Amino acid sequence: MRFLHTADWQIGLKAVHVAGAAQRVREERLEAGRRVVKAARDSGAQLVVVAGDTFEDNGVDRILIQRVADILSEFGGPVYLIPGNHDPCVPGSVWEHPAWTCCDKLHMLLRAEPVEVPGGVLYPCPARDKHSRSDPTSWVEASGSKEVAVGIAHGTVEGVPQDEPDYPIPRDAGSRTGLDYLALGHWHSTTTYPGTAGAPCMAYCGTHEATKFGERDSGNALLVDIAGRGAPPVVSVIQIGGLHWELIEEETRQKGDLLRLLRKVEELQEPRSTLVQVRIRGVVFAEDAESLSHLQQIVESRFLAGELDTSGLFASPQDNSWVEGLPIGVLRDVGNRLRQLADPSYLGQRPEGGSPEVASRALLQLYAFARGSV
Amino acid sequence: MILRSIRVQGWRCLHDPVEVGPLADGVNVIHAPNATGKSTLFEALLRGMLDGHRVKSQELELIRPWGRDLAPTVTVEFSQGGIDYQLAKRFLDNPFSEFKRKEGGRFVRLAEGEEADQRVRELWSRTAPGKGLALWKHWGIAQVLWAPQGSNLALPSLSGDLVTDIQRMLGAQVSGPSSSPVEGKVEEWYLSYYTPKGRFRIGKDAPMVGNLEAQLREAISRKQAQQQHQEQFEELARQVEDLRARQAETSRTAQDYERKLADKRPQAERYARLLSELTRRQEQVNSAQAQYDALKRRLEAVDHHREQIEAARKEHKRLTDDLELRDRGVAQRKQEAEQATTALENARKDRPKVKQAQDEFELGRRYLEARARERHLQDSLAKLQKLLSTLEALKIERSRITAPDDKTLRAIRKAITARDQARVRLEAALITVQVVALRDGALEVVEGEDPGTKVLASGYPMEVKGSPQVVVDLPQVGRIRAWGPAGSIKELRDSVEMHLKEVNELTREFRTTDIAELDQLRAEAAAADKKVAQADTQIGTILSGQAFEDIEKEHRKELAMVSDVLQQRPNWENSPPDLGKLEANAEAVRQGFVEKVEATELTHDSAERSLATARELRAGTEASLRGAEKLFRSLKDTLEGLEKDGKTDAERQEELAELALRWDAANAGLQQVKQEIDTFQTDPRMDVEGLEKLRQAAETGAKKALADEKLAEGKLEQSAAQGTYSALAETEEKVNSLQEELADEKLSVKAAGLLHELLMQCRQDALAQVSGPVERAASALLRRIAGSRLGTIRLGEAFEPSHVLPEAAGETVGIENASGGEKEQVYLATRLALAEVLARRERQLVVLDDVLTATDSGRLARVLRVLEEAAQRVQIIVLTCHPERYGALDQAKFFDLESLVKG
Repeated sequence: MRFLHTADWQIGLKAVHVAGAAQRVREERLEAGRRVVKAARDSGAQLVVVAGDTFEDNGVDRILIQRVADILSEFGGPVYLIPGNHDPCVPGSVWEHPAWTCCDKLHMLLRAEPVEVPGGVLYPCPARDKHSRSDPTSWVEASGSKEVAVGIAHGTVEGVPQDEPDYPIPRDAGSRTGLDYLALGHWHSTTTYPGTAGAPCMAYCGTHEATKFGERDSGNALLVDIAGRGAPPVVSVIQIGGLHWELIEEETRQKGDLLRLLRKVEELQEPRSTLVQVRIRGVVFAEDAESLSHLQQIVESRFLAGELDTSGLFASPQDNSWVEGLPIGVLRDVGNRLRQLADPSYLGQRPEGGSPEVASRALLQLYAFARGSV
Repeated sequence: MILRSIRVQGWRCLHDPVEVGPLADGVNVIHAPNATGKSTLFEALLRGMLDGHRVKSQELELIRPWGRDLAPTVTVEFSQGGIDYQLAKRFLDNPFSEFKRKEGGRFVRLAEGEEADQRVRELWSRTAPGKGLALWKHWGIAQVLWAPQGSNLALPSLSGDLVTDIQRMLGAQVSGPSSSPVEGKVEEWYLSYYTPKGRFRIGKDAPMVGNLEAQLREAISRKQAQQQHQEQFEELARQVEDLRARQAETSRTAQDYERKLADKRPQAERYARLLSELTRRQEQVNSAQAQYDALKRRLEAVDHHREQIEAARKEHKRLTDDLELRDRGVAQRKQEAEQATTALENARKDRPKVKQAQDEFELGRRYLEARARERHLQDSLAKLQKLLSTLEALKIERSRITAPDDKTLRAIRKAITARDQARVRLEAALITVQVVALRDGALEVVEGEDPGTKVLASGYPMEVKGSPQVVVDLPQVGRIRAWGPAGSIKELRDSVEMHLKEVNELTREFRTTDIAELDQLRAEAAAADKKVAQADTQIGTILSGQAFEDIEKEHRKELAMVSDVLQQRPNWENSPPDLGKLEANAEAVRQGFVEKVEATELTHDSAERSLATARELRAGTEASLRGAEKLFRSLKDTLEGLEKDGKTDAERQEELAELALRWDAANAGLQQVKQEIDTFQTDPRMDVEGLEKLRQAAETGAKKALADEKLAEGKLEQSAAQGTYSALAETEEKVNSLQEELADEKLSVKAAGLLHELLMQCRQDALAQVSGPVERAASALLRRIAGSRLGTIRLGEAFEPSHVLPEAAGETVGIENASGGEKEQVYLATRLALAEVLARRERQLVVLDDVLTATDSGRLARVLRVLEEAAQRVQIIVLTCHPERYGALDQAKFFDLESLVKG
């Protein structure tokens, strides 16, 4: 039995953190869906299982449902989907949309009962609510199955730190239920869980396209081969994602650090499909002011989406260069005062609105005026 | 600027050309008497340097000399930056402006027309006056340097750009010349967000922040609405889920009731059949019992009626006997009643005797009363006759007395008092000469009240009165003439005469003016009036409101009545009747009659009642007899009805026993059915009915739940079609984007504000550092002129002297509290200190037009020394009509304007 395991497409994703590129990010998720289907076709998968959270929410635009149904229909073989906690099977859910009835290859598994499929039996565990403290696989008992038994569930495998259980799934769910493989969804990073024989018996395929900065090992689908009932599954990772989410966090302490950071950002590949977030903490020296300005221009203009966070970056209070270029007199006094206020450790009286962040911005601007760069 | 010379013509009183110059670099004193043209020179200098040559105004027309067609013209030669310039300007007629620079020892044209105006003006001020004449605010540095006539050197708050210029001059020394471009950029950055007054820009010039905030507000508002839509969508989903669960539950409940009904219905049907059988059996029992009871009651009735008929027969016999006895009693009572009636009629026949005795008594009473009234009336008539005679006599006596009434008497008293007072005033007005003779003699009153010879008695004073003078001749002694204040006593005499006449008229009919006699007359008249009144009162009392004739008529009536009675009873004239006896006799006759009638009436009533009682008893007995006869017949008829079946008593007893057996059998059947019913603990029909209602309610609930579900599903479908989450997501992204953009923009706004604020603060600090020396320099000058009394000078924000700080006072004092001379000195010291600041780069011209007029000669000497020292850095021109006050200026150059004007 060969099938493609995918999940967490999160179609209609809310991309607040990359608001300027949000629409593109959403479009990319649909494109990634097409790549999943293509990969399934190319790999000769008999079927595709989607382990929940196909949609970000049941309230997504109805056109998206139709588009997803069309994409999945392109596979040509059977596709089995279960509702996840983002798109649970409730009244008004995406699963009531007529798009699903247009193609007889699309099967929504909305009840917890075994379903015979080509080459085996599926044990779906559909989510019926956004939150649940119950093990969705608790009903599965596949020990007696003569055919390859594959479970599809959406939840959190025990061990993942959480404030409270959310569709908890025991770590031994794969072996305990007698399943040959348990296809999981919910967490966006690809993770496999070995069974007693060491081979993977359950796995998170991860989201097919990363959803945010700092998301580990996402943008994949899993191709699962199970030779027969009791045979160890062979799991192959197929890279699907087309977007690069680059989170760069740097602390600048020395002169030239910002220049080095600038070079690093400049070297990032495929900028039009890359989203960048640069967070800088520390101090900026006068001689790096131009690098900082350049960095900001590159981050904001070159990439699909870019954000430069300098809220933790302050003008170096020890750097006399900030004021050396200023004429002696009033402006020099102003520059020195700004240097003072830009220091977060300064304990003296501050004028209203004279926070280190504001003072740093003012000092950088004054410096730019004096250098004639503005 | 240093003024080299000034030539003026056609300007107010300066008709012909007048040139003052060449002027010294130090102090120049231009002096002339008043109205010679000193201030005209000052005015020409000011207009030439600051006003455009084409300017037109009513004020400018005034500078044209009166009655002359001359155009005001001024030519000024001056040095600026080591270069000599010449400015020639004509106003009003064929105006022109020509600006020349000395090149190679001669003046060469540099600019003309408005360009020339502009270039010269810029030497002084950056503020052009516009279309009109230059006002004080356009004077530029001349505000400090030039003190016009009448200003007394007063230095108000500097206006226009001068303050900025001075601050720049001062600030430049601290900040250096290269700061301006950067400061300009800071200012430009700041003004892109704020107005020059520090307010955040709004309107079309508003920075992006305002627009972003508006967009953000709109986006947040949209987001809130979309959140609500999303929540509504989720809530609708929950509602549909709940409704589906409810519909399923109610359907299950309805089905459950249907099953229970299927179990209960057969029981209910059997129960109903048993109840029907029970009713039928009960009816059978009731029928048997009724037949038995009917027969039994009939048998008992036959026996009872037989007994009753026998008793009725015996009662009839007894009543027949009683009726005979009652008839005899009635006849006896009837006879007794007839006898009593006869006795009563006889007693009533004595009634006329009672009336006769009473009439006699009444006649006697009327006779006696009429006779008494007749005698009383006769007495009254006699008294009246007597009183009427007395009254007539009193009235005659009263008519003989003539006396004033009270009103007249009061008028007389008033007239007498007025007369006496007039006499006193007359007496007081007369001149009195009193002569007391030492021996007897005579005197002759020549003029006086009573002229003529008067006898003098030794030791007795004699008074002679008169007016307007008294002239007395004393034989062998001489003439005495006495007079008093001139005045006429005629009015006083007339007054006396008038009041005397009034008294006489009032008292004429009483033949006396003596008030005592008049009072006596009044008293006598009053006494006579009183007697008449008393007699009237007595007559009125007797008449009691009647007329004398009425009393006489009444008397005649009573007399007639007495005569009438005496005709009936003649003996009563001599022997009047005894009313007591007549009354007692009448009463005795009446009493006897009453007692007799009452006794016979009692007897009669008793007999009548006895007769009625006997008749009633007889009627009762007769009625009872008839009732007994009727009862007997009734009983007999009933018995005949009861026995009409034609059966014997034995046959009826046998029938009764058979009916009792039938009743017992029906009862047994009834009990059997009851036992079967009792096997049901409750009525199964009620259970069925209750279950039926519950089933119907459940079905209704299920239908309603289904309808609600369909309705909610419709709404949910509508809500889902809106794609609420997608819309919300996009708006949240927009909000976040705007928030980030706004935060960055606000950071820039704050940074610009902070940078500007710090720049202003540092600039103020720097300026404070340099304005301090100005204050100190001015204060030092003031101390030199006026001593230390006024202390130090404090300048305001526009460099105007605002306060002094006397050392003794320890606190600042307003400049307005200083004397006129001290104010002059404070202003002069401040102007000179500021002039030195303005002259640091370029020597400047200071003009003092007729100032220091309030400064005393002692301080003026010190002022002159100060001016001489200041002249090392500035050029000073003093315009004055007192050149001698400036004679101590050794190095000053003096110009006699009057001589210059005269040529």
